[in-house]
Amino acid sequence: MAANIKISSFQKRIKPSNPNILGTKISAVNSTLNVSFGVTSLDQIIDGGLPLGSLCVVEEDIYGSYAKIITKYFLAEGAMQKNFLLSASLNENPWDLLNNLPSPVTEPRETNIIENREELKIAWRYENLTLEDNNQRLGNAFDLSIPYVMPETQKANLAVWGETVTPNLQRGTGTLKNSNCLSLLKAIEEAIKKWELDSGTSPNLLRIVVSSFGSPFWQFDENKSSLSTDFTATLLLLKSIVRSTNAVALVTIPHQLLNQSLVSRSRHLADVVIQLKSLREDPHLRDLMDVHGILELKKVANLTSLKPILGQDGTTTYGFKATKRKFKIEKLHLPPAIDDDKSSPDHSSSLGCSSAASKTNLDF
Amino acid sequence: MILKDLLKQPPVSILIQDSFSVKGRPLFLSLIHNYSKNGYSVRYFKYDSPLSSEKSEMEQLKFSWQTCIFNENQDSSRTAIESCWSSDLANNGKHLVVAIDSLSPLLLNWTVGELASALRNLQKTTAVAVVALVHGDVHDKETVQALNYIFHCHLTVRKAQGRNVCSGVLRKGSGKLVDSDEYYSITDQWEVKDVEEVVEPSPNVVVDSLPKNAVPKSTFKLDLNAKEEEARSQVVLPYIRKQASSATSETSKGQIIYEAEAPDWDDEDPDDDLEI
Repeated sequence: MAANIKISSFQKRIKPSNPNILGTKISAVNSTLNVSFGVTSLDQIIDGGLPLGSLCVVEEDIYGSYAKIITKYFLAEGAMQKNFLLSASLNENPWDLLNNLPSPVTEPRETNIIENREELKIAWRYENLTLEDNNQRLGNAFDLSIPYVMPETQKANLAVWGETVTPNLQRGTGTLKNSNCLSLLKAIEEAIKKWELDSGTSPNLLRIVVSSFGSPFWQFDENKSSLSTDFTATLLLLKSIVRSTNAVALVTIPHQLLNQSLVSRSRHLADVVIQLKSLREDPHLRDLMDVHGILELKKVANLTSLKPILGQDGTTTYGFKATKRKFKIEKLHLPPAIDDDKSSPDHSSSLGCSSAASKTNLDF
Repeated sequence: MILKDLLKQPPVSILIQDSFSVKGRPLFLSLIHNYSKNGYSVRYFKYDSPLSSEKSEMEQLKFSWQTCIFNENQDSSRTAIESCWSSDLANNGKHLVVAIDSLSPLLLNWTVGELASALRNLQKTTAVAVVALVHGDVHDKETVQALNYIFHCHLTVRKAQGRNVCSGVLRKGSGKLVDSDEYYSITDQWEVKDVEEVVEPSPNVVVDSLPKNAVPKSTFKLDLNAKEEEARSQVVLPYIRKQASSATSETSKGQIIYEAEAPDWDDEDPDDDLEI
């Protein structure tokens, strides 16, 4: 019998060869390739990370310190995954950001095999399950207090853009007039060409981080008439660059300093919008347990389908805690209602007819 | 509590914001004086003309600093001013402080972005600390907000209870933000002293208790005098008497005594009269 004669047109389904880009993971929700933020708790909220080819805008807290932590984690995760990194900043030297990345630590795996566990009499079916969170953990854990010493091979994958790199520039003559923006986009294009990320077959990706875009250092106010077009045109061009290449961009904007319409435009443009609000901006947040601020997901776009990606229960407001070593995002909850004498003086004065001096609980 | 830290070592940039009612120049000058005493090399650029009352005060200060007075005749273009700032920066190892008094005339012609990039250019070559004074009430809110963003430490002076208060935020290199609200005063020798934290006095607690004799005004005599009060306290209430007598028999606290009367059960069928 002659072998290998194809009688039917049946083709065995083989796994499609995917280029297996470094640092990405296929999302279970919509099969996009997702790029981890570096903060595992943030990844869990946004379905595993940023989709490859998307633009994420982070609306900074006042003075931007917490947003900086997020960008550090993002870059550190890229360094660990051996991605290409481009750091752009006019506020400070962009090399400062790259030289102070948190270093990875292996967290002790909480193998929750509790030795002296009592026998479960009622829930006996759960006896053999561990208490570990079985969610896929994308990425590593980092320690902010230890600066990461990058290996030499990784140093070749870095690029920066900032004041030191670009001396006095010419104003643009086209739609985009701001010279800083033009130079930034040019630098990004050069980096992409250099690393051949637009070929479609590259196994690596570029993580672009633009810090404090729109701050006074960018000199958008030089020409009032072109302020709004420059800002939005740059974001749009950045988005189109990352869409067509293996890249993902994280842009932080100091939204308190900008016109509200610009902020709204950037929200419409971006694919993922995260807003950070620290405690000092809103004293009412002090009532919430322990958190250092609020993180709100203003927008999480689904690039491949119409179904929205939300958190498990549709919550979009989370709290974050930033210690010297770690940055963690958690669900908000009110602190337990304790006795009146522990509450702040504001509360006791609202008791009305009771005497403010005494701390007795007059319950009627 | 940042004034003490500021006096010890200047951060990258300090902005002192004052207003018409409270002058910030004394604090500004005393900070600079302190730095020059501590070995920093100070270059003082004056763009505001001082009031005549202040002129004599400033003459008192030992102008060991290098000053540069800005006249209207001089070239006011940005490049000229920037070069003025950064000229002779290569210093003999001493730390440099550039004092700008004040930013308000500059902001008339410059945008905040230009000022920001001018400051960055200044700090490109050597590590320079910039101390600047600005009159906050002259500029609009967005400008002041943007200035606060650019400068690492911004202080506002105001008056509270007759004393000078300086409040502000210091942004440390590590990203930590330190708030402060402090009293201060300036001596004749341009020294900052009496720095102490502003503590808000706790609001006077109004004891809102009801008065003892909260009896409504009426024509009836409703209060008791001493004798009547005593007699009242000696009245034995009826239930106490009963309790005392029954306490000997039982110690039960509360008992429901139910005596079943006529049986509750009705033999008739209530649905009898329905005609279905």
